[in-house]
Amino acid sequence: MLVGLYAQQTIEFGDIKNYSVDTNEGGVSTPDGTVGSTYTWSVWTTDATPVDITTASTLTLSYTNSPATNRIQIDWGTTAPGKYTVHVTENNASCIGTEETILVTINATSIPTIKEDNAATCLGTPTDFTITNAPANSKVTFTITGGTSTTTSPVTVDAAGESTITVTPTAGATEIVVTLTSVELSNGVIVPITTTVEAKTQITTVTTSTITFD
Amino acid sequence: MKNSTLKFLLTSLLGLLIFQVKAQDLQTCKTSNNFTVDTNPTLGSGDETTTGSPGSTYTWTTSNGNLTQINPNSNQASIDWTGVAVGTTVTVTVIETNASNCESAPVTFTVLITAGPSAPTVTPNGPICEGDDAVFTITGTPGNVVTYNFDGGASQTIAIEADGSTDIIVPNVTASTTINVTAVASDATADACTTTVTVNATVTVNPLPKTSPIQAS
Repeated sequence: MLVGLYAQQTIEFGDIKNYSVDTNEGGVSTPDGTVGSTYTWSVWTTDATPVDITTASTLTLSYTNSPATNRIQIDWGTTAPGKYTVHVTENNASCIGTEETILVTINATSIPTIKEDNAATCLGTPTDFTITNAPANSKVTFTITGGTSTTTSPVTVDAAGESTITVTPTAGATEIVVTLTSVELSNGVIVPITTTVEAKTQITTVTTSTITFD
Repeated sequence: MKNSTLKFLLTSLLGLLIFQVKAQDLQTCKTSNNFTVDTNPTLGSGDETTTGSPGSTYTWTTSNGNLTQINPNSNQASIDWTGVAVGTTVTVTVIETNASNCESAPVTFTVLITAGPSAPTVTPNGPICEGDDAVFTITGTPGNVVTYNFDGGASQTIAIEADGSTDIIVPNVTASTTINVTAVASDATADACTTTVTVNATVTVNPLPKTSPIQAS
């Protein structure tokens, strides 16, 4: 498919985007959409044999300039990352115009990783866990066992996709386990992490006997 | 009454009887026809050649039409039927005068002027969209050859097919197109009967809507 010939847009998983044509007929702002024309929109995959996914449950297409049909909004919902094309054809009640197309790339959501800064820590000594590879400025939801943190879940990562969680061991626990459970993208879409992404730090407890004397 | 006079009267009466019982010798819808006599020795006195009997001259007359002897006094004549009404029966007469200045009895020939081919009808498709094919369906007599042009351009011809119609297709038209049918001929031969006609039909071509590129936000 000659996708390189199309206008292009890159979006994130779950984005909600607006698409329009003929918003400036004749060089003026009105009418918005050619009078008498109707526009037919469709969304297709870019497989070798493209599939029409306009009405798929993974996305929602709605008109935003009713009764005109020249403007739509697509909630890309749970449409999988990849390349798609949005098409529109204009019908002026007599003839159908040349199809216009835009290529939309849904970026794959980067699954973050977490790593303990220390393999072991002393009870009473806070230790850090470092999150990396998260989507820029996303919020990473996590759970902690064996410790507590002043950092509440979700933690917002920086533009580099990194953040640090400082955990204080809990007395009686033998290890701290920090598990990442989901990522909330900058567009508000929450992407669950379905694989196990966790890091562990052992808690070293030194038990000294009571002092005895004679 | 002289014998010669009697002979003439009998001959004339016989000729009149033949004229009355026979149908016309020729039905024509052409604009002109050529006529000849005395070219076949077996049909005349035996000395005929392609230019008639040696030494003879021929005087042609017609009851209608514009007669021209191809060569003065020759055995060949042409008659232009222009202006002669359809349905008219025309009598063509030729008298031979031999070298001794003797005249033959008049030889007559009747011609019925008939109508040429009827004008066809033209049915356009559409309205169509820019880039579609314009189709003009011409309906008429099978075998007739129609002369036409598009928007006053160069003349073209097409024969009407056995089913009485033929389609003229103009592919990928970008603007409304008019066909002008100017003539219809009885067939494709050079001396076919031809009727001048004026039949026009237009395929209306609607422009395609112009859609802007998709704006995304």
